[in-house]
Amino acid sequence: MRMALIDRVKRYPRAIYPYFMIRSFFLGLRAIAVVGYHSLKRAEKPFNLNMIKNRERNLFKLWMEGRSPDYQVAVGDTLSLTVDYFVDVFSRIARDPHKLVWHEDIIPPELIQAMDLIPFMVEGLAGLVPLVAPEQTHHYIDVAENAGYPGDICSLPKTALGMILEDLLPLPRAIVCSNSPCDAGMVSYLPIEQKVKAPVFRVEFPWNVYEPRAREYCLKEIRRMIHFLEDIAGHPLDMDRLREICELRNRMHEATLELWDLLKNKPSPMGGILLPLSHMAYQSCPGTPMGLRIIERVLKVARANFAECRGVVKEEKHRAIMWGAAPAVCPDFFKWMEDHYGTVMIMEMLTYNRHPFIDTSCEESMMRDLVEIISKAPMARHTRGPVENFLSDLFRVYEDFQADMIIMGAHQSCKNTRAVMGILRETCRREGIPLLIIDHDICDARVMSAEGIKKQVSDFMEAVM
Amino acid sequence: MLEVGEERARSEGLRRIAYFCSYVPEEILSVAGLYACRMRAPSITTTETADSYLGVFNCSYTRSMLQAILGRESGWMDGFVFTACCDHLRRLYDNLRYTAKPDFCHILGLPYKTHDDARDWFAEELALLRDALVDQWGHAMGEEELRKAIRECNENRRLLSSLNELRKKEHPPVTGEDMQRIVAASFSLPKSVVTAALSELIGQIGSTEIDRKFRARVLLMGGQMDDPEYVRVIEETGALVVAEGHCFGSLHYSNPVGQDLDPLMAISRRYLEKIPCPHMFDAYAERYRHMRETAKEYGVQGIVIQTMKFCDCWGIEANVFANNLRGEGFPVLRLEREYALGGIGQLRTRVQAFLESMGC
Repeated sequence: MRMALIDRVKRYPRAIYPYFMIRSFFLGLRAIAVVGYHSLKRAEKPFNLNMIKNRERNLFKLWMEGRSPDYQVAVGDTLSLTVDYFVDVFSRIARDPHKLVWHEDIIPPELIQAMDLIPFMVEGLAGLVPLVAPEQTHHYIDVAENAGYPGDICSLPKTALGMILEDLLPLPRAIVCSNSPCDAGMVSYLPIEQKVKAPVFRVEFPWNVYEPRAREYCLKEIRRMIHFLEDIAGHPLDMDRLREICELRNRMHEATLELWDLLKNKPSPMGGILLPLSHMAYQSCPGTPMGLRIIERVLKVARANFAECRGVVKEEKHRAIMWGAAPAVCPDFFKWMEDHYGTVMIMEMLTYNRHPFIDTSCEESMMRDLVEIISKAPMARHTRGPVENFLSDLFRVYEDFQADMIIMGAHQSCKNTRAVMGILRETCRREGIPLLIIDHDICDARVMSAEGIKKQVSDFMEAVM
Repeated sequence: MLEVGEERARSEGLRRIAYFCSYVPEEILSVAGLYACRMRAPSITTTETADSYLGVFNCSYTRSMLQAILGRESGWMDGFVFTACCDHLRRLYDNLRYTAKPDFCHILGLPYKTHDDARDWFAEELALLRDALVDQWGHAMGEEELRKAIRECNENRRLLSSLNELRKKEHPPVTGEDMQRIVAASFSLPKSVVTAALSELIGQIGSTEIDRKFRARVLLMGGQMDDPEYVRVIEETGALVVAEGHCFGSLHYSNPVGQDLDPLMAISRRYLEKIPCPHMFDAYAERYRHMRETAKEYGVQGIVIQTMKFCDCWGIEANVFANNLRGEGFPVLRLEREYALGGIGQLRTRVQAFLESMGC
């Protein structure tokens, strides 16, 4: 029924954006009602759903205006995923608060889901705040810094920490985190642990996950994590449920690979903000019907464009790879690049999830493939191991997707990627690859404003491209 | 002593292998004509060349090391051994290989936990290091040679620990600055040279005491701290550093290697089970317990936590430490610093104010 409604709305392009806005509004009301009802039933105070106060930007409007109806619907659907995800998670937390497990972004939620626990990615919310409420992000960063945490650590875990220190998130039964992708993310779970006083399991990934011995080591660590979660859940991991999740995830991956094949064409039938948005399906709800629907929706738009030899922008002048951290403080960055310079972002680091299909024939094979996915997640495989891991992936993408420039998002407090900029710069120079290194901070617009980021791009496009 | 020791090592044809982290096993770098040298660069004050490779947001220890190596100010080095213990050192490894292209550069995949699988993993990593060294220089590095190196390194640790014990006295024989110099020399020279000198030193100063009066006994803990001059500035204010809780102090030389196991497994166990640094992300409670007990054993009146700017691990953990220690009634001073000594006046003022706040 919903698809039929969307198909009707699509006939009236000016109605698409209001449709998704109204839908999200009603979903929000539903979440408030569900949370209120269950809290009342338990005679408890409901947790605050308004975690992102004072929304300053309307992403629906920002990313949909001026686009084709199909593209608008795809953006609307992927954005709605975020709303659906939070509504779903908060409703489930309201019903079963003792099932809530916080997980770090590198730890995927499949295993937690298969245990009938409620996964909630702390950094996911922290990453969303600068997109819709930059001032609010600054507040959370200040809260963490005023509590004594250094100004130079990554602003993403610092935003999450600020939100937790302000008691904004519903408290978890347990936490699962890891030593990947970076030191700041890893150590931030120490103050989090002390604040929320929940048991924590820390998954250790070896330094270089491509090392032959690493797979076995990771597998053992993930098995230890499963035992920890089984103790929390009070029952063993449901293998049948895990198989269902893995099979759905495989279908997502199949659709993703087809999408990537389409992206390799000139002009690219897809690109821009839809890529990172579709990646969120892997971050928040992999192996779920919702996740599959998102990827298929994006694929459908790409297929239609490809069939009609239509590019995602009217005139494709440049094809760029976005590596490192995309600037969340400049949410219209991709669209602006397309509108001003005909530059399509055809791939970005976090979206490039080169995971295998999961062999669901037995428990062992599922575990092995899941471990492969977890340990070699984007960022995890780039920031750990030798610099060759970082560079080889980037240059492979550059060639495979027929790009003609690389945009490196040099997030100022990402010590790891900042430390390879010299090597990257010289390598690109030798290979004749145009490279733009953007100085910015992923969450803190006070370090580099959206205008400052665009100025860096303009200078580069005019002087180099 | 440093110059004499280095000269002797050079004349004996020893190869000097630089390392950057207290988790690099000195034992393996002390056999078959090698000797281990913990990398320092006290003469480096600016890091322009290194900054163009490593970012300016990387810790100034790693930038100073790269600068020293590229500018040939680090003295002669035959090889480099790293651990993958933090983002900064991991990337120093990459940048060093890329820029200086040393003949020998090896990184150990250091575990972050201490369970059996981690010990086995690290023992395998040590075997890979040993094999790489043998391949590079062709020296014999069998079980006997390793056992001998273990004995030498244990003896060195025993002597440093005995000297450290003397600091528990009400009137200790050495200042914190003295101890820092001794430790720096000990980590930079062949163990045979250091052991003889340490034995002699302990014999000479065992029953003496320093001839200055101090206002308060402090524990100096935190990140990489290899600068005796920094300790000197702290002590000039009237504080006496009687104990350290950093990887260039007792965290490096405590805990001997067991001699009843296979040498590589024994080394693996010792390094993973020594007092952990913050990269051991599951071991905060142990680290905290150690610092608290050390503070009590050494009769400490205040704790100074110094961290290197841009160090994520210590940057975050120092705050947690400070909150917990203050919660138990310890006066705590947090200092952020760069590798090269600077801002002496400010440092002095802060330590003086800290001592006054303690009523000393």
